[in-house]
Amino acid sequence: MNAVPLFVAIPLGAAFLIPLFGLWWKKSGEVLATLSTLVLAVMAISSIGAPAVTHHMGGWAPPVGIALVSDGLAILLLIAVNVIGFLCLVYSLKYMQVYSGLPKYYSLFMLMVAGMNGVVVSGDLFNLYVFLEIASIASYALVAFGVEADELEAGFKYLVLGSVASVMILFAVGTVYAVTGTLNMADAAREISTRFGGPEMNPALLLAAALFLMGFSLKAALVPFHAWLPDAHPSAPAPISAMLSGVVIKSLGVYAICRVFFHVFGFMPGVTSSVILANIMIWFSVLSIVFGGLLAVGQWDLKRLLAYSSVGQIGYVMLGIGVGARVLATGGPRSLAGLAILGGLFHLLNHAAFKSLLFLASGAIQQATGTRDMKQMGGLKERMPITAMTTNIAALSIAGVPPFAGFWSKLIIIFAAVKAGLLVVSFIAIAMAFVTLVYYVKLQREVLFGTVRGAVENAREVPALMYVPLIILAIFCVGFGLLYPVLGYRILEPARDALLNGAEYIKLVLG
Amino acid sequence: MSQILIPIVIPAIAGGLCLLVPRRVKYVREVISLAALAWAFVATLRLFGAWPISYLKDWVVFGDFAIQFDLLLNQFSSFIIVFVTLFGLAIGLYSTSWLSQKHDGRRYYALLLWTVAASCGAVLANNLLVLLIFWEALTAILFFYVSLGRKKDEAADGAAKSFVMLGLSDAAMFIAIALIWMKYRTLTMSELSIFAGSGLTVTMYLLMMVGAITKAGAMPFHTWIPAAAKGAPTPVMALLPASIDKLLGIYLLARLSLDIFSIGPGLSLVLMIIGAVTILGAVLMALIQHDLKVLLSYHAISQVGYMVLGVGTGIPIGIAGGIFHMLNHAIYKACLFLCAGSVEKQTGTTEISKLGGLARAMPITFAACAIAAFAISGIPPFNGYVSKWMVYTGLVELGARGFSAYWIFLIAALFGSALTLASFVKVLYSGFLGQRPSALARVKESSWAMTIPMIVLAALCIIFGVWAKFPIDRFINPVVHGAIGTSVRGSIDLGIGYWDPTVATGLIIVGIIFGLVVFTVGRTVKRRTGRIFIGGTVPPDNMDSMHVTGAGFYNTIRETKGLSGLFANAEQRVFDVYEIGGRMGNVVVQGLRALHDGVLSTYLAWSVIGLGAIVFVLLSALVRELASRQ
Repeated sequence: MNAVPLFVAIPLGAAFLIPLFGLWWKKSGEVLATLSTLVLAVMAISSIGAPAVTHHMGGWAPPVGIALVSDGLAILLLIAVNVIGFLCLVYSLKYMQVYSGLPKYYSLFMLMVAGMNGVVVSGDLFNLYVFLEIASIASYALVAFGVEADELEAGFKYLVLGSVASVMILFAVGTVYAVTGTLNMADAAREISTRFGGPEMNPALLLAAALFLMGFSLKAALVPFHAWLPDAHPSAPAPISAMLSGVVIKSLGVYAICRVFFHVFGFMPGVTSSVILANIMIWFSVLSIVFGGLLAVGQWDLKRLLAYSSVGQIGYVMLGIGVGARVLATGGPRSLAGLAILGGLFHLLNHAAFKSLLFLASGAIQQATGTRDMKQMGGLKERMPITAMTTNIAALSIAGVPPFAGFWSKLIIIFAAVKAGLLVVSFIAIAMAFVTLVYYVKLQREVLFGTVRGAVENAREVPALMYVPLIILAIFCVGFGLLYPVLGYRILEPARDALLNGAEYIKLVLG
Repeated sequence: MSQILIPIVIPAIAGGLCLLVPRRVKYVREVISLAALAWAFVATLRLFGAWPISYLKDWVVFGDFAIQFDLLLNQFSSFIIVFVTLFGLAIGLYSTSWLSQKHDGRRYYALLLWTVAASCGAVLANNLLVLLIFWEALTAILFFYVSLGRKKDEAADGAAKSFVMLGLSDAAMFIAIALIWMKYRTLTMSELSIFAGSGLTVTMYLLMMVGAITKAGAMPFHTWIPAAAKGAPTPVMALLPASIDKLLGIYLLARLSLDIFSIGPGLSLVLMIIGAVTILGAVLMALIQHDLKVLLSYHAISQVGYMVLGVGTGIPIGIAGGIFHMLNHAIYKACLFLCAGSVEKQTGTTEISKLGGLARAMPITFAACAIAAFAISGIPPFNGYVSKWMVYTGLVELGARGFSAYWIFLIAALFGSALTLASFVKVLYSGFLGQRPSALARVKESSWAMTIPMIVLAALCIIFGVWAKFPIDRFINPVVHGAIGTSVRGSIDLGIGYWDPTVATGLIIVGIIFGLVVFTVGRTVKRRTGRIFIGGTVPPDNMDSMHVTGAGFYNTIRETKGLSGLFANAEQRVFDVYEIGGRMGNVVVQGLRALHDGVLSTYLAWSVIGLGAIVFVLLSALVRELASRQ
């Protein structure tokens, strides 16, 4: 049986049923959402190493029918989204008890998961747009879920900027449709490469590429499109912050850029516009790395520091992807492009693990101490040892200390950049890796170490339902570093090969 | 399993086991740690002399990019790991008694074992990336280790500062390694032979050097050591900044300067200047300290200057002196910190003004401390003298080869040595001699687990001084001739013509006996003893107000014209790269924060400008492309 549609159907169904049952069954959200995310996570993990498949909705063959595609890249994202989704949901069970309107929360949560899974498996551009909007709108609402002034303002900013991006994406989808006459991504890719000889000579396609890049970059929070993130991510409830930073910016932003630019437009050697697009990606990622890192150093709000850190780290992810694209476009060795992409995807996975851990931990800290102000904290490891230990592990991993996972992914990205001849870029990446270390040392110093003071005095360790997800994520942070061979061969390398071989994707979808 | 892996793998696994032992279970952790450390020590002894042994394995394979786990045991690395594991073992034994119930023993022993494992890995590494990985791991271990201190805020500050400064030096090394890989396509250290002549190669060398001297603690990257000393548990100071970090830092510096790179006179001069400035600057700071641990930590910086100076001469005997001094320093500085730890354990303080008269109560600690203090001050016949003498000889020989400014460095080195002695006169007096404050009336000597490591290290100070030929022939000669011999210019006669320590010791002993005879004869003259009589009253015995501390011995130097301003600035940390970097970084960060005004229309404008930039770049390229085709 083909399970791909279930990745969309289960969370969508749950999102519909939760408020319905919620009318007379108070626990509907908790029970249904836990069950469905558990099933999704198990499905995602069991699809590791599965061959790439295409599902034709209603038996209609593409390009006419709607295709759902699960290849190496999609599986990577499905694992990240659904595993992190499940852990965040388990965490929510306890954490969200202080909020009211819980069925709405769980319904929106499932809607967000449905949107992300939809984006990842969608085989055509319009469905990609629709699912992207579903996930975005759900996340606008979730950011404002606390309905305090701050949260509403953050939600509104996110809504306006996100809508601008969505409009650009829709416009780009329309342009591609107008030029190629098809919405199916594989079909459009074939049209572009055969009929137009690449996107280069057609100004309309170039405009579409520019609009796509802007739209997805905004969803991914690359500088200069990042400004919504430092407001939105801290304002959301902690599990939602973890989802937003951990997987939403990746599936709506990075994944979409990968899919559209590597598969639909394609990076062909010797095509000027491909080189320029790749260069723009590298510039934006370098800007993100620098600005995100430096701004994080200056923050005293725990969650805001983490949010800026996300801007910087997503820059590393996109740097790997961008260097890979540049090597492909300039006709460099494919193995080098593969190395860069592998580094980017590895960092994507690592960031999903440690950033969701850090946001969940920040939620635990906020609930235990009642504040997010790092100036009022200190000595947390005396009061909340498990939270402190897992936070330490995540901080070391994201700061790039061996042997934790983040070190390896940054190492690959930097060495790929050096080998591709991007010396200045790689030096900036190394220097900013040091800055990352600085602000995580700041976090550890101010929050975890030192004498117990301020708001930490009366803090208690959070209940097991909240710290067990933290421990699992901490195990990921260590395990991804030490057990690379298992992880690499089964998950990352299929994803890399999927990105490198655009022709395979066309063959997979169109047969 | 290959023999060469034992010093890395066994302590690493034992460290993990220590974490698993529940907190309440006693003795098991200690037994595991000591057994693993002893095993590692014996293994390194058995490896000694068995060079070359190499071990090569693809460690992590990223597609077709492989990181090779490449180890090489040669004369140099073999010698270093023997002492790394020895210090690990000595401090492990010491800690069993030093640690109180209030310390978290699980983490303490785990970190101790991991330190030894990572240090052995870094020394054995024959691939720059493997070196970097162990080097950075050691930085992180130090961070957690320092933070275990009981004075939590000081410990956390020191830990954070150490992590940041060492992290910066690791980043510098990372850049250098990336450059080396780009240029030479290999990271195998034994295959690299780079002449540091062009701008690129000099940059590589300097960046790598920053990594080495930050670990060793030379100026201007030294400030993490006093910061760590304020809060860290004392045995941790003895283990890392005093001994293992010196071994590693100078090991890497020597490998870099003499083996991987060949450096010209310009870079040699840079090293010598760093060395001379470090000797003098740090010893001046040491003079005015009033906390025993911080005082010792400044000496740990000052002595690095001799090592850097020795390696920087490029003269075989100077290099041998630098490397020998590294070994000697590790021995006597570890001993001094252990003595400080012993005093701290028994009295509860390391504040010099609160100590005094402990010699009678803690004779073993006093003897060990005195021997190590004489050794660090370069008094014959102790080991510090021999290696300093070799460094001086190297400088003189450099002068004989036409380097006319050698005397500046010679004077700096000699003067530094004199000030070191002055500083330790203060330590010995105010800690162990004079009147004992009444608060310390019931102080006792520490237990055997703490005194044995001190005795062993103090004995080594004497043995390596009196029979200096043994360690030089056994450890230093193979290094200078074998491991790094290829680029050492000229042959080497290890100065036995200049200084024969064994004969000299005999003469010194004869001199001391003669002195004792004179002293005894003098005592036979009748003396009168009486009570102190002040202002018409006889003060009671052991009155604390009569206690003269040595804390302010050298305040005159602090108040000297010309120096007073420097001291004031140094205490305000004006010269601290950490502070300078922090301030400059803060300006940039605040500027960037000011841009984020929280106004939606600003953010919208950025997005639109970003989109405009993409479109402009893409379309203008297209236009150019079209124009060029027509």
